[in-house]
Amino acid sequence: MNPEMTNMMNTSRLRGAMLPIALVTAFFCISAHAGAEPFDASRHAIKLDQQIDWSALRLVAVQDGGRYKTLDSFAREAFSGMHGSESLPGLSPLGSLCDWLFRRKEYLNSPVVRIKDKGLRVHFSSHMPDVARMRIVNTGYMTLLELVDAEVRSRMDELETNTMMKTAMNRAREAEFYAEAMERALRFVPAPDGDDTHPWYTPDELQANLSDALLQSAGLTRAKVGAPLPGISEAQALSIMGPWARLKIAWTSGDAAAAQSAVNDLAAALPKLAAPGVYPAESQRRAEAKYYAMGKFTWGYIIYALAALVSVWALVTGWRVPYVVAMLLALAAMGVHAYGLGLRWSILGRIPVANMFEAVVASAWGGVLIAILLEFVYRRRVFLVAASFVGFLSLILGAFVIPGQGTLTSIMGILDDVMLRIHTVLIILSYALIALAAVIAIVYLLGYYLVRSPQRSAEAGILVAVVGVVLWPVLTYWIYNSPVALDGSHPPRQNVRELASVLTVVTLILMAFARILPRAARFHALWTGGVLAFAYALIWLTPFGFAKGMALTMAIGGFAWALATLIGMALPNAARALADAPVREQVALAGASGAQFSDAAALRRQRPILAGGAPGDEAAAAALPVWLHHADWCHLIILNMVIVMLFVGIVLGAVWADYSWGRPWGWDPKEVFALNTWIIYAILLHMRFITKNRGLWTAWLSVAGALMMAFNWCFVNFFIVGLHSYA
Amino acid sequence: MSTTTLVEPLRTEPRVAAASRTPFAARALQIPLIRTLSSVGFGMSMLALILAYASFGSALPQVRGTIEMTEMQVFRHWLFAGLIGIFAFSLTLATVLRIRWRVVNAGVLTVHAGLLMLCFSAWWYFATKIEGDAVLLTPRVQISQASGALLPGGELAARVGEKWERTMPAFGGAVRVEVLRVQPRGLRNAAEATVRVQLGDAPPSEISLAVDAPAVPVSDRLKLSLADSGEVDRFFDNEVAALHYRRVGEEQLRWSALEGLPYFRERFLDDGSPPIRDRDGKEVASKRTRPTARLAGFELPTGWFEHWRMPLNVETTELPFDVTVTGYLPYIAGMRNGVAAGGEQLNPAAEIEIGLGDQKIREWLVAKDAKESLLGTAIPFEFRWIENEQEREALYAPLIGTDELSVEVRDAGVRKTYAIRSGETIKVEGTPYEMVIEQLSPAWPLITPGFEGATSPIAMVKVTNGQKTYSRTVVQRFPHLSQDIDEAGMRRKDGPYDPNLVLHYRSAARGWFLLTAGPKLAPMLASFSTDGKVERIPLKVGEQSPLHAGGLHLNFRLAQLIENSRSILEPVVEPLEHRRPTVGRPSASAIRLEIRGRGELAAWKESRWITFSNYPHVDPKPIVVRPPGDAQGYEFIYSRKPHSLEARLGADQLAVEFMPGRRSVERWRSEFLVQRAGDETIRRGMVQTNETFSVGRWTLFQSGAAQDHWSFTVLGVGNRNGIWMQVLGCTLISLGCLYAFYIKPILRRREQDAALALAGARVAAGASRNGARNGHAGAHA
Repeated sequence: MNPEMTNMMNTSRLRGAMLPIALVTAFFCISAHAGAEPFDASRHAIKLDQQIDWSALRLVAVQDGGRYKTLDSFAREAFSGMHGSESLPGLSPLGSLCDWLFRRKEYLNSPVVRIKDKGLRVHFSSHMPDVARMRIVNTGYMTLLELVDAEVRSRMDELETNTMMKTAMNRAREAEFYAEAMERALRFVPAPDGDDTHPWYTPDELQANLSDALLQSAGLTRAKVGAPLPGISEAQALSIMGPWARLKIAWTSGDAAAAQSAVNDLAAALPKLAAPGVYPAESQRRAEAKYYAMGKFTWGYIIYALAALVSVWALVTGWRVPYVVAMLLALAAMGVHAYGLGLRWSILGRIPVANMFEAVVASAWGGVLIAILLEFVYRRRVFLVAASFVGFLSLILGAFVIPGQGTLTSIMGILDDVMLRIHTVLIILSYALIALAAVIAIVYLLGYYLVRSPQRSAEAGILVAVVGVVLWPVLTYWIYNSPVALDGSHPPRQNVRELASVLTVVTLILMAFARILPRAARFHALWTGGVLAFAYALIWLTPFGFAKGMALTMAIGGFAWALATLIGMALPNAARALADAPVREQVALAGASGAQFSDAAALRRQRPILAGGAPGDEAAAAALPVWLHHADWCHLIILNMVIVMLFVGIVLGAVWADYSWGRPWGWDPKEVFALNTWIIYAILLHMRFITKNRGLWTAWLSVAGALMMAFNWCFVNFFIVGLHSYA
Repeated sequence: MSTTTLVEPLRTEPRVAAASRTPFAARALQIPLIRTLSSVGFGMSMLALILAYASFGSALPQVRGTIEMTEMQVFRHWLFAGLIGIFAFSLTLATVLRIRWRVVNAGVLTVHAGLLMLCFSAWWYFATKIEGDAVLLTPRVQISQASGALLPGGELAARVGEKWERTMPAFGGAVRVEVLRVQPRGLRNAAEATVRVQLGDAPPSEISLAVDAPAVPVSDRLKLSLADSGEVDRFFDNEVAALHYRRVGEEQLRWSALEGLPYFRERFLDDGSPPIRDRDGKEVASKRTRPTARLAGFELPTGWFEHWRMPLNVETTELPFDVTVTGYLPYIAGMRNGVAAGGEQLNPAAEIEIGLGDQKIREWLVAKDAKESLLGTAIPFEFRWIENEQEREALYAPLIGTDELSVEVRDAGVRKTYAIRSGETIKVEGTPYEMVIEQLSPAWPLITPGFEGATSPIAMVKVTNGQKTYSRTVVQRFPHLSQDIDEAGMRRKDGPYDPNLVLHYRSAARGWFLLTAGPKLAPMLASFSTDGKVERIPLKVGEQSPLHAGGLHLNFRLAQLIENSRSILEPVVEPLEHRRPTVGRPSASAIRLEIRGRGELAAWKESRWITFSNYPHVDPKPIVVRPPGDAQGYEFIYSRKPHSLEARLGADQLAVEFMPGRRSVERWRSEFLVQRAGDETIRRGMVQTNETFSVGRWTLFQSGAAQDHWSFTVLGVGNRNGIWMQVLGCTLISLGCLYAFYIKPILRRREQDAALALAGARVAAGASRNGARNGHAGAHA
């Protein structure tokens, strides 16, 4: 077989491999969304729910959480808070709401209330029989009867005052509130005055406007329901309470036609009670319902994931078809991303950058846009890879990791300022660019070590993965069996932390003596020591929850690194031909005058203006594949933007702080770590003047900058108290 | 000709710089120290150190806690300032010596100039930074009881149209107050006010009120007054605490700053005081009391780095005694009455310890104090001081049932004791008396003056003797407090309505522990079971004694017994896991003062805890210290260091904008009147969320507000020296970066093109010369 035939076969094999990868990705994404088994108590309602057209009622406005939302949003958010998903299994959000409001006692023994925090699960279930305890600890789901158990109540009261448990207890209290009194939050009866901040009413409160005779017939007394609400006549109250009562009867008796009629009447009557201009516009309510119904568009990560896979393929092989496919996929993902973002902007009536979900999703979109534009201009594929990965990460974080998962919320008063649109946008956009730069840096590092020492690179990845894999279950065990989880009064695993501190120091000392080892063994000793010291330091210095997350990151990251290196090593020559070609063979020398110049000088002339004035890596690049050199200047293009944007963002933040808090700078952790991030990039820039292997130094420092940024965005936000706790 | 020669001018900057140094720079860089200090590597190392310092100082509150520094103090520490200074020096050297001053380098030069300006202005800013706040109380009408105590919630804003209403049965219905008119005067926005008051169904009346005037009575039980925060001319420092003091009765407060007071950790010297405990009863140990660090068994002084000191001498030269701070607690849950030896008169106190499994209660019981003599546990624990054994015998006599009532009818000479139950009727044989037991209560709260907070078992008995029918409340622990209510419903406070009948009640409904001791009488404990039986347990101080009661096995220990005790106020520390990190020293701390007399008072010494008052003039929590022979004494308030505002402020109102539903606030706005120093004009001022107001060198901003959304607002106050230089520095850095990243490459490209063109021209010229030479040679050939 001639080499050309071999190359063609390899090529078709590689192209064929794309299909199974896409299918596997799709399978995982779909299975992640697979539904759970309905509760026995819900069976009565499932068919009824399917027979009812909720389209009118879902758009009814509810005043909740400092804003107006649709009833559909209310139901989804309430069930997210109580049950951990937007509806009960098998039911629609509104079907779940009706079933919960009208037939709650049927669920007394169903495990519907989700306690998110694992420490609390142990606290609440320690006195329960083994079956219930294991269910609660493993799944987090408690029944209503278990929730109202006197011992559980007593533990809740006790833990509520514990500072360490505050966030967890707030979540548990929210679940408890919705489980026991969801109807008290259902403020969908408009206050008839023209003040749009006036509290609206619940159906229970509206009962007070019914006549005494009607109250009596409903088994109520005036003393129980209180004085009538001001400004609402009995007829108006009846126009709401009538359909509400009919809906309750129809729902409990399973009469779909009657329920439909009541739903329609209720949806028609409620807006009429509001003063003109107060009830939210229908277009806005429709947009909100659509936004929620489409899962806040975070499923765009699936398209980004496909784009990322195909773009890596395009980068590695240099082929045109996967490049075009990846570009189309990335554009499609960006479109979905933009649509979701735009819809959110339109619903909220403000730029969506005021909480973590919004900041991550919006900034990532900005970053993706910049990267795609740069890709169009420079066609170096590495921008496309970075854009796809950043888009994927942002949406998957939004969908599964960020607390609240994108629930629409009102903005804090202090954030409602023009600077939100300037400072915040600049800062988070610079963070997105930092993430893009980090992806390019990782691509560079992978490529660099694949070329220079592939075997060691794979070993290093495997070691990190193994340490992560070992650490994760150990930390999980410590968290579940920690004394803090049992009585909440002791620092968690103090002895373990002390041991970890000793091991960190001992490991670092041993590493200092690595020079006595033979040269061949030195790398392994240092790398192993470094990874172990990092793991011990995690246990010693960080909260176990954070350490567990890092362990998982190490496991996945190390595995991905090793896998990518191994795949790179195993790739057939045809697929690596372009990637492996040294600069000397790739450079089209600029020789207008016909003169011969050095490779470095020619490369320097090819460098884009946007890559800035810092020294390039042309001198070192001659021995490396040309795409690594291109990746380096692509990296510089992004880094230059980061340095300017981050600095201006920090300065504008100081301007905002000056007129908001009366001082431009207060050494708040968020401020300090934003500055630290910028300092790392300042160091990075200057290291290019004094190092020989500039691309490599830049890549490592870029990763360090991204870690500092991630620390600032995640750790400082959640674990360190400061003025920016809302950011 | 070598090709590399042609591209030499296109090499990287350091070489260009090196090749084009001025003679001065070249000479300076011959000196190794200057070469090192001006190197990029040194500058980057300094940046890395600054980064490390900032990371540790900011992200690790434990570190700040250990060294007792706030974020601001960490970042204006001389060490950080030194790092910044060295970096700035290195940057200056590098800029002057290593960068060629030409157009292409304008970007880097601008950035470096901006950085230097930023370093200097930031140092100026933070070295002189003062931050604090002032509180403005919204002018309000206050509704008080006759005693002067404010009714709970008895305030309304002094604004026209404001209304207050409360149902008060004592007035036969609702009490309504409405503000009709308000009269401003100077900075006092409501110096006078006219209000309409209606008590129940009585006709409304109009009352005029004035600030600084006494309260106006509107009935024998209620009075109204007008109050505000006066003219505010000071604000209080956020970081530096101060001890405020004055002679009792004086108006003017003097103060002394407590520079060096710890901030985050418990630090107190052992002065022989009882151990300090937390809310769970656990003993709290002091952290380091000297700025030293232990390393391998050696104690290294760290006072050169740490600012805090303990003990801390307070400069109070005007006082006839010395004051030293000997203890600091950052987070107390409250103060409680404690007991110590050394009282001047008989005041028996017993410290008891009761253990059940792992749990332990340790409490003081004070025999002469109605409230403190009883511990209200599930089985009550009482301490009595007795004079003789007969008294003890009477107290320890078994009951004839769970509850017993002793009856003495004086005129008939009848004495009987009955086991009683609620609802039971008792006919006293040989007398016309008939009694119905209406209610038995095991822990009735007493409200008689002197007995507030105390509880006692009581029996409420309805008595009929043929002539009178009345109710008698029989109090077990304090029989003299028993009272009769006659047929008309009048409570007979002046003595029994029927002195012929004497009742005594005893109850063991919940069991009862009665500890007795007396002069020369060994302590003894009696355990009353619910059936009235008594077990006597002789006690020795410090020894454990097992107790069995109510099915429980308890461990009892009489830890201390003091005959002449004195009452002290002890802090109760908040356990670590219940502390809120956002609440720092300002609101929850306490300090211990050691007061030592001078001269004639040299033998006198006192140690007292004071809790923190956020504003010494608004919410003072003073202690009064009375040196021997001085009945008037001195008042001390532990608060914050005051600064002059250089202006006077008068409160107007706090306005709030809400989010829909009015559960969360969108915007706070504080309105006030301001008169700047040296200016007679009174102007209106306003700060709100995201909007500041300047008064002289101070910037005011919205810092806090009352949760009721009207009663007070807190204005943050701070100075901002060097702010414009910072702005200029930041602008230069931004512009310089843009130039270096996006203009410089264009200039460089032009230089490259020019070099190429030059090289091309030389090559062409060389070729033509060669060609000509060759042609010439050919011709010759």
